[in-house]
Amino acid sequence: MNSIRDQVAALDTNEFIFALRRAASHPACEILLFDRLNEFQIYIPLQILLELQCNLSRNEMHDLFLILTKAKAVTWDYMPAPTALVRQGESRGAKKGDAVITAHLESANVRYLISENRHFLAELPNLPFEVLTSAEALQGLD
Amino acid sequence: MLEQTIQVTLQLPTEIYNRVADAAGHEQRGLEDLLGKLVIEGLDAHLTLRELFERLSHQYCTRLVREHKLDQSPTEVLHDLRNLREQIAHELYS
Repeated sequence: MNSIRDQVAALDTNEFIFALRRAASHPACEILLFDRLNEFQIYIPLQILLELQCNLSRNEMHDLFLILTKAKAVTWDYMPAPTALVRQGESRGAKKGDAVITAHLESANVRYLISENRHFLAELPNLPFEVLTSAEALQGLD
Repeated sequence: MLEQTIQVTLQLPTEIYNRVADAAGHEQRGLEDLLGKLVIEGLDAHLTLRELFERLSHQYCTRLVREHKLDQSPTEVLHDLRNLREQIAHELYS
């Protein structure tokens, strides 16, 4: 099987932020997290963890940690991304931050990144993972 | 703002009390504090995923209102997140 239902997916920081804001512009972010999280196997790399820590208070992070245990599976990766892969991404034209995310996902063999940021597709051709919006990820479940 | 509290008397089996006391010592927090936390977590276990997220969202949005950030447009939010990503990456992988 090769669907998002059976594979690990990384959730980008913007998914959490738009969901928590309950942004009318991105309703699928809320549905994905509030209603369907328990159907996903999620991967949170160090870079995204740090971004969440910058956006959420200590209590909010604590609550988020507890809620994420409701996912089908959750992996918190506290290791920095491999530097060689970060450099490789930068040399292919990605910004450093996006190169870090790419390196994290590549080294952890993660097949999907769920993000509302489409810059990944423009910056880096032939990514080793598929970038889906929350709406596309939900379609993949149904 | 201080939350209003009510004092309760709790009777526990000795074994449970000892476990809580050990955990409080281990976490370097007061017994009352830990018992309160355990009650909240126990209640949370009965909430649905949506209810848990709605509560967190309410807490988060209330803070954003205080910080005058809730009215940011989606474009501004994405822009700030992209800048934050670059800043963290440059600090960690320079």
